[in-house]
Amino acid sequence: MKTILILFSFLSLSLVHAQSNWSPEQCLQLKNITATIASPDGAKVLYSVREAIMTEERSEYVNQIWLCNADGSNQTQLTRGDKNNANPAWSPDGKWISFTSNRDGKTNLYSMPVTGGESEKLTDVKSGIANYAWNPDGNSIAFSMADAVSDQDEKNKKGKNDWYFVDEEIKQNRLFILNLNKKDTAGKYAQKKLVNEEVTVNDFNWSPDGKQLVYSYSKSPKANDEITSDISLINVETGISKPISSTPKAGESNPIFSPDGSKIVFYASTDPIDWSGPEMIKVYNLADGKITRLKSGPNDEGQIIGWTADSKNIIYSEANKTLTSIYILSVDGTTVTEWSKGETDLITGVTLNDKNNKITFLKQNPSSLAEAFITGTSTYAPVKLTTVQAGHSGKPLPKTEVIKWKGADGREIEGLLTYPLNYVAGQKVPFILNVHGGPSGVFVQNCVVGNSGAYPIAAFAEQGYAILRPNPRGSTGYGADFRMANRSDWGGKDYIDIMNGVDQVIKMGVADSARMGVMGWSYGGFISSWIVGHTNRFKVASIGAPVVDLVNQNLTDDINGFLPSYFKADPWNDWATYDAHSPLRYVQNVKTPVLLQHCEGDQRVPITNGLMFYNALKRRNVTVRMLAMPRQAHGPVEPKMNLKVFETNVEWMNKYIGGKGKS
Amino acid sequence: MKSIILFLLFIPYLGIGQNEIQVSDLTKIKTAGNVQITPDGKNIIYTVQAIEPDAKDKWDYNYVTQIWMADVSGNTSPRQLTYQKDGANNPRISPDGKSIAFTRSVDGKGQIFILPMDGGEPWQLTTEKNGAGNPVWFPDGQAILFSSSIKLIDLITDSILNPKKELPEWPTEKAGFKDNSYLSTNTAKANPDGSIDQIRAYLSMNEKDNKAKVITKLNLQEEARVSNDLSFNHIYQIEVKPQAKSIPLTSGFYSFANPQFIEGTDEILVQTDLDKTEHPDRSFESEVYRLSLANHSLTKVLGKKGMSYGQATISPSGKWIAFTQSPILSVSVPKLSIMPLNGKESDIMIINHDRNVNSIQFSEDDKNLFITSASNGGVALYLVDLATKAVHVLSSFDEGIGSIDFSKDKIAFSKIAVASPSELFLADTKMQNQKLLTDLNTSWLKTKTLSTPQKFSFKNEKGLTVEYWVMKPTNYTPGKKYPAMLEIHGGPTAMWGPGEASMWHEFQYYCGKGYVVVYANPRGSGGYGENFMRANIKDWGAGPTSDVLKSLDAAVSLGFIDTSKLAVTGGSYAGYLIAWIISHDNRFKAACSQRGVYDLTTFFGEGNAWRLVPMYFGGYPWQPDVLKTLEHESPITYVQNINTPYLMFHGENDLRTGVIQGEQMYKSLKVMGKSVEYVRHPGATHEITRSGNNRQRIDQMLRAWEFFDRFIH
Repeated sequence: MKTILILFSFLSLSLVHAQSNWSPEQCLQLKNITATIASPDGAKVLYSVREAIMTEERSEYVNQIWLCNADGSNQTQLTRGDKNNANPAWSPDGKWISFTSNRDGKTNLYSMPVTGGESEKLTDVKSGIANYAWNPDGNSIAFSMADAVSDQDEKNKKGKNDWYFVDEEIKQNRLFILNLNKKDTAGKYAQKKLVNEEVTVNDFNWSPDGKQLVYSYSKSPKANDEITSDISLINVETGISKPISSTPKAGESNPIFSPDGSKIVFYASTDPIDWSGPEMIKVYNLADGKITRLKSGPNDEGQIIGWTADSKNIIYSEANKTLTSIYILSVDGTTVTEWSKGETDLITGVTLNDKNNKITFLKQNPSSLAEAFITGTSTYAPVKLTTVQAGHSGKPLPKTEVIKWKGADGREIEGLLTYPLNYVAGQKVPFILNVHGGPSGVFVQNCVVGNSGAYPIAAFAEQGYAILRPNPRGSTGYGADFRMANRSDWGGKDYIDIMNGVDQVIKMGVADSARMGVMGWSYGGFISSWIVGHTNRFKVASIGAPVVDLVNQNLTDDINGFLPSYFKADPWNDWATYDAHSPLRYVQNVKTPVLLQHCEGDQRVPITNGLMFYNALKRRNVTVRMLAMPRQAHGPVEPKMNLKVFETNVEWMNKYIGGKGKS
Repeated sequence: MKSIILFLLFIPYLGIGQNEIQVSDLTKIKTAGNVQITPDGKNIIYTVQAIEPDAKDKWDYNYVTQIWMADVSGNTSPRQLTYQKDGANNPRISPDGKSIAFTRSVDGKGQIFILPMDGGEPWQLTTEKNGAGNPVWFPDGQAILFSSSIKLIDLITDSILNPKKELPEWPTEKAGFKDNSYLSTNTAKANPDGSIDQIRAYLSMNEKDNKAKVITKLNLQEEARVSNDLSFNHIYQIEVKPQAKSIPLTSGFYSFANPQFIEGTDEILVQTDLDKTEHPDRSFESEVYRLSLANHSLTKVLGKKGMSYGQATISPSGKWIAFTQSPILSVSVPKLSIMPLNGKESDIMIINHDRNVNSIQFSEDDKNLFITSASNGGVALYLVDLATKAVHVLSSFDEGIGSIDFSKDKIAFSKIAVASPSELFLADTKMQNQKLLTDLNTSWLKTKTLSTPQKFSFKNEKGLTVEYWVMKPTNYTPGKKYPAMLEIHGGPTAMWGPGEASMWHEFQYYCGKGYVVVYANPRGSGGYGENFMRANIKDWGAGPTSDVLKSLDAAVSLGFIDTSKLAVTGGSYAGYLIAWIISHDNRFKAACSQRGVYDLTTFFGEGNAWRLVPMYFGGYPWQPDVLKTLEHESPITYVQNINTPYLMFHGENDLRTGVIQGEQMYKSLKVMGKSVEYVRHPGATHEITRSGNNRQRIDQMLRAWEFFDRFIH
């Protein structure tokens, strides 16, 4: 019966979307550029392209590696097959291309000559390569890998003797050196473990002379420990390490050596760490061990791209409202320059090459799919590299614009309003409010067509909906104050910011106030479940992985410092506040039909949150369904699950507020 | 702690400093093949076969062949082009040099892959359900010819190769059936209690499910199994682009091989045997045709009843072909010949070269032929001047030329020599200024001491010059006397010498164990011309025995062999000859026959090499005079005379010589209480010592040595 239903639903979809370009199924056929890196000489660029493989027996994303010249010519596919080939990198001499692949079951490291030839398997690991980096001398590769499941573990699992004590058997992520000049008796390249302490190595970076590695580490790979990681320097030959920054309650991460080897730049949190508080860029001076803080960007939270070749500046990127900007931070700590000023497209995936003179990245905007670009480091002058999306040119995309309104206390709030495709001014159309997660996430001007997440914005627009994606207080991209303005106030002024945005779209004459729906995931799920407990203005809600009970959330999630950071107390010290801000405490008011979605493997917002809301609504006879997804984490990660969430959301909204068909 | 223990274990091992070749060293031998010079002349593509430890079983090894590229300047080290554990073989460079087509096994079937030489991993071109092999590039590089083999029962129903559902024209020899119509698909439903058609459907089903093997063909023995299968090799073309579909160029219940483009035409040259009158098992002719790529029609170039035309090679201009010709089913050396492509039989010119030809290639200007031939203990390169028909030998008989390719000014080749069992070399067109390009074995051999064979010869009673070689023990001390191992080759048309690859390791192994190794090419061997090869007809026993024992006597006369410590070993025909020797001579302390033939009458029935019986003995066991010869020439006839301790080996799946006569021999000796041991190697075929399971190769060599050690210390 089930298969017949599935078949039927596919059939009906294909009929409905006969003229559509961006149905959920069509969205899942999109390719994504997942990595870019320019060669050391800047003449060529490696990139990886991801596609979904959905057959009767498979559902996974597979990357393949491509090569092109820095002017976009000579596009060559380097890897093929139905297994994943990802994380491309150049050897320091630019003659070899390395990547990771699971073609033999485990994720191993491979390399192939740029001049032609099959790739050689460099490692034969039992778990899987996590990160890797070539030694600048080209003779070795540092890589990190989680502890493998032991033979005893396997036996215990088979023999159903696989009990464990919580938090007591940690699989650490370890750092290894792979010697490319030495093979062992079995013919494999020799590898040795570098850091012997019981810690997880997170990021690592070679000194330019190839003799030392700087790395960040935490006591376990759990997110809550990783956030307070520390930094050490290790001599690869002797294995002797030296702490750079060791702060039990603060986090330091992502260390990168300056090209002249004299300094190390890294991120540092406040001490103690304040989740989503200001993130600082600091520089460690190897000569005297002094650490200085650099003047950073207006958002106080971003990404270190690397050093300029002269070792005098840090290239850094940050969310800047609904876009991203690249900044140059002077190492003397005095200046910050918005280097990509004037760019109106969204920049993502910014990557610096090994010689610190070429930057590759993706550029897109709401009505244009992402392609890769390259620029030198002197002036921002992007040159297009790829035409991965050429097959979609000419397919109409809806208009999206940034709109602004006044929030709870008069603060300016921004949001992205996507109009229905072929919208005629003055038309009142069904309307969907989409709330982002975080809460320190941000809606940026990425293309409305996508194949990830839960909400196919372009599919909704094609079906006649207007969609508002607001950035209420708590969002990043608007400075640390704005990001922290929802402390102890979830469901308070953030809710008002959002509802004022909805009123704005009604006032604009776009949204039909009688046909409004709300959808959101994670913190967006929190707001959605808060909304349905506080207003009946929405006729339908789609709620994904919601936080509905702050106590349950804080005592079951993998980031247990997070809510105490936002609510300034552990739950047992302030039950009242935790209760007051829990949507579950208002579930008795809910009348709106609710679609819940939650993944079984979600450790960030465990599925118990979704189940509590579901059972409460069900027992109150409120219309509710819950889509549960095995294996997925804090959101769908397999393409068939992506597709199912996309389709279910479209169908759910269509059922209650209609789209084009029911206007 | 663990690493310290390992370190201690390693020290004494290294400390011994074993300079002799060890039995396990056979797994270190790497072998070059498929040598091809790139069109720009700058690189050489070749394959390397290595023996690699099995991932699961620490005592097992696998053969893995990968493609390599060497820079002709020798300035940079050769680099490996393929790595995947399934290996890669038969590389063919595209005419523009930008791609390499090669074959690789996918789900047990060979398929053709394309490796772009300007970067990127190989991609799979063919997905043939019966596999694809032998890629040949079209001159324009846009497409590839390949061959694929299909079974008779599949060909009958194949909609592409046999759209009209035709049946073989030649008789399939099914008793009680007038014609082949019984092969047409029986649509009846299988029912053991039903009509004759339903019963036949039931019986066919049992055959498909391997409950019965029905044999109606003459050659029932394959190499490792008994089967009634017949397969046909067809030639296809496929465009070199992803998802391309192949098109068959040949059809019918015949096999086609060796396709070559004919310059200036839209034709290719192919070899086949289009005989409608005889079952393929009985038809031994080989013909040469031109195949039109436009309409797939065939035009005969060479072919005659009773003749086999082989190794057809088209000249670069497309005007000449070189080939070999021989009467079918004869003990003969096929004659190297040339002819204008559009010539008649009377235009055939025979080159005076009384050696079997391994490979033929024209020079770029059509004026010369480069050929390789086994001769006098080596494999030599010869140049044939087509104007004068003069044959010049360009390389030494002390070495073996393997795979070879020619450019305007260079020759690239793999070579076997005493110093290394395989390396890649580059030379000028006169084979001078040889330059070593690889280090396949040279490095690991640096710590080893090798024994160098010394060549001798004598004239036998028939006036034939018999060559033999003597190898001193590795750590030879003058004045001391050593045990001797007489090694004898099979065939009987094989030839041994310092340029022969398969015995390199075994000879050095026995020298390392303190033996003097003596081996000869007795009458009947290849490498010395047709007269020499035919000198053992109706005389497999006494004559060749005389040649090998005379060689041993001569070696003894050199003064360093202890005649109380003589042993003898060899395989196949040599297994036969050793049984003959020890049933006529008692000088050996111990003997070992591997995969031998002992009773020619039984051998006729159980071995796929049974044609040797009529070819060498003039007929069949039911002919009284022939039976008399077979009995006279069979060692089993003299089994009661054997007193030498005897070790017998046989591969359990060896259907070239079969195990039954060996067991007859063993049981006879056992009944008589003689000193005998019989070792079967499960799964092994006749090729056990050359390309068999490496653990069994080591086992057999060690078991032989261990057996000899019981009698010779």
